[in-house]
Amino acid sequence: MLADDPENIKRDLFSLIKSAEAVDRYTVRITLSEPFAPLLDNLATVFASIVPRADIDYKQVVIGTGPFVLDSFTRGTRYVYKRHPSYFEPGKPYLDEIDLHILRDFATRAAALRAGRIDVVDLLPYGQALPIIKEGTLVWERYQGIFSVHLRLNVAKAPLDNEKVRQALSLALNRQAIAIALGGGEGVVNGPVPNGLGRWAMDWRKLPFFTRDVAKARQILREAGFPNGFTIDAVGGSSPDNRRVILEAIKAQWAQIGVTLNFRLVDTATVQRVRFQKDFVILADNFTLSSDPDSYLFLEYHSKSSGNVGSYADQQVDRLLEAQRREIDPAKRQALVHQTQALIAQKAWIITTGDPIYVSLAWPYVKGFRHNNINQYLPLKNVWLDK
Amino acid sequence: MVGRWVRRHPVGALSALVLAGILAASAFAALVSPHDPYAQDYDALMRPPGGRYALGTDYLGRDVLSRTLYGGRMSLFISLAAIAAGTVAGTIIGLLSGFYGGWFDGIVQRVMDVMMALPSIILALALMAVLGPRTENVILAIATIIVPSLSRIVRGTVLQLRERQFVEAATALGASDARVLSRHVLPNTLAPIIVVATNALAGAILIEASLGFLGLGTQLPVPSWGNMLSEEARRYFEQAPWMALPPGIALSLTVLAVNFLGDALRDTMDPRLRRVHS
Amino acid sequence: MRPFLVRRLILGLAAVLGLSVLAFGLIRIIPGDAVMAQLAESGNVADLTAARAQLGLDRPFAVQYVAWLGGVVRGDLGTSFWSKRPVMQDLLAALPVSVELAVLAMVLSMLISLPLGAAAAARRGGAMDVGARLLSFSGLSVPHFWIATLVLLYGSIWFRWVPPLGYVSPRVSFGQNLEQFFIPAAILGVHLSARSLRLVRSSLLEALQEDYIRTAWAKGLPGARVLWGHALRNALIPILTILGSQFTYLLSGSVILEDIFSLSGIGRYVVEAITHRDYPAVQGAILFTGLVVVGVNLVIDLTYAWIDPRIRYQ
Repeated sequence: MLADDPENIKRDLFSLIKSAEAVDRYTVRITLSEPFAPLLDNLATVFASIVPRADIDYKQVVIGTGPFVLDSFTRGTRYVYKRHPSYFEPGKPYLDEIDLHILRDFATRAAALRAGRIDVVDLLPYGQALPIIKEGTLVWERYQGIFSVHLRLNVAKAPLDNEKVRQALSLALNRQAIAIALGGGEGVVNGPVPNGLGRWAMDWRKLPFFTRDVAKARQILREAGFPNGFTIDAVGGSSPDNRRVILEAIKAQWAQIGVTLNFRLVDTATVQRVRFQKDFVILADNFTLSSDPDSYLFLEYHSKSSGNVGSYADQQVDRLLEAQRREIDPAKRQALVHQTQALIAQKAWIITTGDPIYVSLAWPYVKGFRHNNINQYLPLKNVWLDK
Repeated sequence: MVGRWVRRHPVGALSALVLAGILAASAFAALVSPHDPYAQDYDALMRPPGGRYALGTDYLGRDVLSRTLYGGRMSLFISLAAIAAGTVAGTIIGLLSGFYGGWFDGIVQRVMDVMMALPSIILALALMAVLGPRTENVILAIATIIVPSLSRIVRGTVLQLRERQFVEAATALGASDARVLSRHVLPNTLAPIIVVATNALAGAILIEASLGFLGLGTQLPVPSWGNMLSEEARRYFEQAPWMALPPGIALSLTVLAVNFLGDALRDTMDPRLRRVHS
Repeated sequence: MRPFLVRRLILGLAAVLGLSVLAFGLIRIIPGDAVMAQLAESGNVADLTAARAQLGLDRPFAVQYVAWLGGVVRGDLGTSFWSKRPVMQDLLAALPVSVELAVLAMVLSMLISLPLGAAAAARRGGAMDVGARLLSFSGLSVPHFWIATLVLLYGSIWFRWVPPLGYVSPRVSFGQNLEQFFIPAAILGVHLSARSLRLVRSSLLEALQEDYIRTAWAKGLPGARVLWGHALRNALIPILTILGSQFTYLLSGSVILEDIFSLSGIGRYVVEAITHRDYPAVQGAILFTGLVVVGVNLVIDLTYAWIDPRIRYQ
């Protein structure tokens, strides 16, 4: 297992796995060192992909047991999948072929969908999809995503080591406006756990410092020792570019409490490097995507976690994080998860803002398509075309 | 004399007028703009033109008219600065290269060849990737692009003039190189320089727009015509065309005016065509 | 003729060599590198150091440059970090797309600018002259990436039509191929025609002033025959220059349009390579483009020398 490499940022998703052994051809027995609630969800992420034996270079050869087989591809442009002839669910998949086009340009995507050259488009912010929805020719579905962009505050660097400063920064924000701007008309505000995760998320209005109060924010900043505000730098990835919209909005909003935000957008490679070396004051980043709140919480905030890049450390938080991991009972776990979020919002370690309402669009002849909240997966094994 | 020129080149004259108007509006953007181009009005996100906001608001509730004016100031400033810098550099290189010749000329021309072998946009992209997306770097990149063509024109003219008698006479009379260059050679290169520079200006404005469009130029929230035409303005073009049309139209109008003016200037300054007049 | 040819060849090669140093050095200055970019995609940091060594990024600049140059001479431009295929193979796959776009755009621009330029020159200052210039300048002034957006948007709304996604070779389907290319070619063609229009017009005007033209008129030859027969032939040299520079501009200059219309040409290849810090690809592509440019210019120079013997002895 590659999880033991110290350079692997995601390894704490699986750190509680003591051993894994193959019992027979189709069964693997995993032994944990303690109860681990997120196990099944983490195993379903892309970070737990089953790779072939060590003698096969899995980066060159594609082997898997899914409903579709990668037939040909032009990297970054187009991927063609054909039906897996011996898929374990009999009769499925119904589709013979999937043609996945990567179209970076929005105008091309929208145009191709309308002209019928594309059957399905997923993960479109509501505002952008609106004109197409209004035409009434396509079937659409709205949902909340889990892809929340947020600002990671590096608490090892001044003035962010001062909790009051962080709280003031959080309090000064008009998160609703940001969410609506992102969605082009409709959006939701996210707490530390995004709304797309359902019961694990919290109502943002209940989170401390999430409801805007500019006067109070200025006061807290004064108490923290910054009556005249200060200047601060942020780094963000340039794609996807809702980071830029968020940073633009935050810049204007923080200006009202005297804080000048200078941000710059860099390419993915630089973001990786900055994250790895913890060489930032504020980093506009996104979470590891999964259906379990653990990766939004433990991975980020536990003092010993491999994914803790903001130098966060607090014993109470640590205890809560470990407890929610161990708690198998969903109701009890939910309470713990909510408690943890409230505590993190109190400490204002990160600034979450908003997310668009997303839409998936499909032509009416596409049957059986339901989008999946975990944006990396497109479940297509139940889809068929009525053409 | 000006009157005669205006009558002979009505289109050019009109263009000059339009250009002057655009330049004035941009230069005095701070005075002319009705709103702060950075102020975000969250109650008026993507509002159509009318009421408080003459040309509507953008995705963060900012006034499009004010941003277009400030954007013009930025785009024109970048383009003019780049042309100025590139012209000065190109002229100096061309003068020296043409006048002294020899191995210096050989090497310089090879370097210019190399730079001209790459399409401008690729050179600009490569430079921006190395230097980073900032306004100053855009000026540098565009200036670099026009140096080769400008130096080539100047060099060509210098080569022609070098053999002329008045230059030889001046040198024979003991004038220093600098004097010969500045007094006799340079004035005669002005006409082609002006023509090339005007052409280059149109190109510079469009390259700035392309770089802004790709997100490699002036960074938002600071407006420039280029970056106002990118992402959000395109994505919401159907519902909110007022975000992209003002900068787009302003840009096209400016480039059109520059092109026509340049054409008129070229007609005026081309000595061969002048024969036809008389 | 031969010494002229040899001299131009040597100068061309020197330029290409300079270009190779430029390409090689430029990318090294950019922070970040392909390894990290790929890791961002895969999420697997495990073999970072190993990958670095494997890709030769740990050796000094000069050593790498010489090794690369050695490969180039043998036709090996290295292997792309991104696509994992030989760069030469990728470029040769991208070349027909760029060439087709360039040729179509150039043909269109000549179809527009030659007749319009001739008409404008024939009646200088007339309505035709101003009208033609107005039309073509408009094409030149509107940013072409914007026209592309508008065409795609309204094409899909009004006509329920969009160009095919993904390159379709003309051998596979001529119709689909044309569907893909005609809009970007049209946009570029109109864009280019403005430039060439101006030059066609002024070269024709200049040619019309020549003494031998006046002699032909004086002799009573019909005006049109004079125009098309003699003047145009002599305006050919500047027109050849235009074609040459248009081709080199189009070869990797139509970057944005290639991106919008999903055409995997050389321009797009270079941009993606720059974005992904794909060293071998950028170097290979710049060198390749440089070679093509030098080659095209050489052919043009030879054609000049062939048309106008005076040039050979400069």
